[in-house]
Amino acid sequence: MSTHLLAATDVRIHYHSTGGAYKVVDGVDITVNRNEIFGLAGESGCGKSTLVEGIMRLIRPPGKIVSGHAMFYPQQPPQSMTLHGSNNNGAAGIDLFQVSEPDLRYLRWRYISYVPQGSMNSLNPVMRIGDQMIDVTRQHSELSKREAYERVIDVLRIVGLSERVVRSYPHELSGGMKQRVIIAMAVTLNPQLIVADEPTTALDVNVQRAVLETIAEIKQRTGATIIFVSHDMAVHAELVDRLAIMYAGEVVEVGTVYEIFETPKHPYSQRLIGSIPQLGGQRTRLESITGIAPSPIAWPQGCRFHPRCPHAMDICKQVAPPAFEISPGHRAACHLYSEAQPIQLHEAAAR
Amino acid sequence: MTTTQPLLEVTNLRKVFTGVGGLLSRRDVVAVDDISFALQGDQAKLITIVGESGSGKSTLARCILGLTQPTSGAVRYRGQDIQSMSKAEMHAYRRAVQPVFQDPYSTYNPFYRIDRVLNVLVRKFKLAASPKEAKAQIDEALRVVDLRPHDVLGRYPHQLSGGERQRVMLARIYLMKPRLIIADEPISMIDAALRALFLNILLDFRDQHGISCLFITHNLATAYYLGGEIMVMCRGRAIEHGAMDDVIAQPAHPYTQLLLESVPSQDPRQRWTEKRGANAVEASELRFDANACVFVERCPRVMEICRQQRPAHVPVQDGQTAACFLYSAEVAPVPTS
Amino acid sequence: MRRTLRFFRQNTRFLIGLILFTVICLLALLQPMLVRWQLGEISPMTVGTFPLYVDPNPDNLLGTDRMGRDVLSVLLVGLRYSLAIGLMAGLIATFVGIVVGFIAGFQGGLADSILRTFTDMILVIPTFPILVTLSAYLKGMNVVTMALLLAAFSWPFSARTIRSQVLSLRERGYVDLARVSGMNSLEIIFQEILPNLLPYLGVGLAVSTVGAILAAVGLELIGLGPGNVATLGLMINWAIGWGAMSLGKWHLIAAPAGVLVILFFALNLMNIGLEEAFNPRLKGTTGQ
Repeated sequence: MSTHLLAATDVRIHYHSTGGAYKVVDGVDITVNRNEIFGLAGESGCGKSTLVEGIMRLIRPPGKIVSGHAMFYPQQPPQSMTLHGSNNNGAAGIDLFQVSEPDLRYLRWRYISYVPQGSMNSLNPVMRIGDQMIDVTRQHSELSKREAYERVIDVLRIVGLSERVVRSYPHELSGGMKQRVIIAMAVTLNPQLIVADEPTTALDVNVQRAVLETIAEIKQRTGATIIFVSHDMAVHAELVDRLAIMYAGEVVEVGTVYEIFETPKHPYSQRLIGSIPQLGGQRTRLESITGIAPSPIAWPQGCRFHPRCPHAMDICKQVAPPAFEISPGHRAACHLYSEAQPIQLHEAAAR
Repeated sequence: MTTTQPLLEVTNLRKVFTGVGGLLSRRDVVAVDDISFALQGDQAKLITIVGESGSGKSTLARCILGLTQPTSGAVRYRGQDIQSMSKAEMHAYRRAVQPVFQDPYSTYNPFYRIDRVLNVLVRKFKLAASPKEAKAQIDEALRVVDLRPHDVLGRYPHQLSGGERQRVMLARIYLMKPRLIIADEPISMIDAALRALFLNILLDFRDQHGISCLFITHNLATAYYLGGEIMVMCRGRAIEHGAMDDVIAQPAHPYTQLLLESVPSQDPRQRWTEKRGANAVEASELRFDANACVFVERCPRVMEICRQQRPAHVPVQDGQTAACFLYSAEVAPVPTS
Repeated sequence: MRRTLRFFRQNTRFLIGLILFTVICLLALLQPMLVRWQLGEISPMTVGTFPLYVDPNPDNLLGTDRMGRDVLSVLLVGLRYSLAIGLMAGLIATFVGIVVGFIAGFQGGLADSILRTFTDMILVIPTFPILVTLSAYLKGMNVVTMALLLAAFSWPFSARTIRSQVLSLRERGYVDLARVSGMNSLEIIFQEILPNLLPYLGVGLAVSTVGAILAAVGLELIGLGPGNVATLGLMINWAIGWGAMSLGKWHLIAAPAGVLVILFFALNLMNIGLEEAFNPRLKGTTGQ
């Protein structure tokens, strides 16, 4: 049995325009373990939202998944589906980038759920919550109406909402409650992977706490794996088990949440963490990063962070650093660590 | 003659939006309800107004800037009500009080190049004696915010990133060097690194140029970093006011306490241990009752009197006040078990 | 210059419409010269210049009508006056619409309520029956009175559009910034809001002109247009009156109708093109 649930390798998602190609995601490798909350951090424009949209196969022209694989290793994979490739202790997996549309539809909600940005505003305003949830549940499963209703009550309880919500209309609920309804919908068919993109942005801070607690609860109760995308580092510190930081379409550092917050290795991670104000304690002058974030149409040569990096060396301007292993599971793509063992993930996956 | 008038004084400010809503649910929305505070002019200082959704903080900012007319109460600049100012006096007010807005996209007229926001200021307030001097001042202002003039001048707003645009707004402030900046959520739409730069620049403005700032935010960590004074708003009312360190260390009002305990910590080793959020409700959803405390529905320490009367601000400790019956001398609160 | 060229290259619809429209306008403008070149000193309206009911031939490219007039020449005259009426009516309607819409949107309050009521009142009136009635009563309608009449009933449309645009533009962040930068209301109207209204003015003008020409043709078809000049609608009226179709002289209707179609096509193309230019997302949906 494999330890990973999802292994994405060399993912490249480009948007084509008359002016050139916007290489929004450009060579990303991430592996997500079972029953963990995996955080994807980074600022706007780094490609994290596009990456998960790609994994969900929601990229529309002019965007295109140019290369890469997203191997998904569910327990009890659907019989009808052909399994591609093999990695991961010999377990067979499904390449999400290769599956057909009908297969994808089968996987969605049952195996993988997606909570997109701002989804709390996409509830149907003229249907009661319960009806919407039952609808979605029955569309993607063989449950009867009675069974679907029971299940809906169950998941609402998991997210901390009372049965009353079933009879409510969306406008009768607060923003936080709507967000929890969306999360409940995502959990209804017990998917093994839930992808949530900025689920707590634009919520009041106390409601944010409720939603974060809900997500932690879901991980405990259902054993699901959650990919949590957010630009808010504090939220990652509070919730996730492992964390990947993206910059300019690439993953610059990945590791456990303790490794990232306590011993960040990549200069960007260090600056990013150092730029966030802390509540309480001594006030130290925040660090900022000089310069401006680059544009996907013209990523800098070599290491993409070198124009803004306080430790930039000559090699950084010419050679893009591979991911070096700082310690097992903790990797940073920075030439400062070139004595460490570079991981060539693309080759490892291909074997 | 020394003046003891505060630089800016807000007295019992109230703003009601009438007739909001559709045909069937027309109601009045009290956006700002009896807000009072003063900012003295002797020393530059930072006051942070912290409020969640529906707290009225943006409406308050607009009233202070003269963009919205209050329903009652007054905003006074050096003792003079801004609603009754002459054109010349208003011009002087504008010279002294300038905003930074939240959205770096909509504050620029897409029809013009971004130079215009800077040139208009120079022209209107006669900031320079000659075009050459104006250019020198503009260049300097851009450098202060870490922008290179030739990267930015002559471009249209859509050609710059949100961060660059917000920095130009800050350059505009520097160009002007007002007495007071009204900053309404100026960093919520820009990147983390730029946020830090922005906050540091505001601190430098205070320390090196004597520019005060009224900083509006929903983020307590940002507020804490700025220090100074803090006023917490909820549903249009000020519910706590005091020195930042005091309020953060010992929050008096239950709402402030709720906010503080909901802020995620930066330290993965210090995560929340209990589940608190079950009954979390957005601040904008709290029902407004003119004759009760705004927090009655969610307060863990609510008492009978809280539902019957609106609490006035009472001192909690030196310099810190809270609008809460728990601290009123005449009401003996039920001791919490 | 390069920006202009790039604009045209990226907005082909607008370009095609503009070219067509320019050609039509040129034809209308140069009409006297063209007619003189064709007919010499004889006025195109003179009866009996040519044999009656001649089919299109090298001498008379569009044949002749029942009165022995060269159809092509009459067509050019008709085009000139139809265009004049349409453009005049369109301009007046748009101008009045701007003024009313702007005041209503910017001022708000009482001025807005009054103007809006007035606008809605005119909108509610069934335009065509009123036009028919009024033009039947007004003896001696000429081009200008026709244009005024048409404009009187079409300005509410642009007024509404302008008003809603001004309402939304008024709330923009840059208007707030202008106010705190010491600009007064007049400066804000002309420097901040008006430039951003230009797309809507352009579209409004195109729509108004199309509407005006259509209404004019409708009136002329039943003989209620200006009686002293030839217009495209009037030509169709004559052709129907003479029973041209049953006589097989289809060119007498096809010529004016065809020109009208091309004119509408050009104006609408410009309209769509302008909309796409200012809202590039539309290009995808309309399949460019």
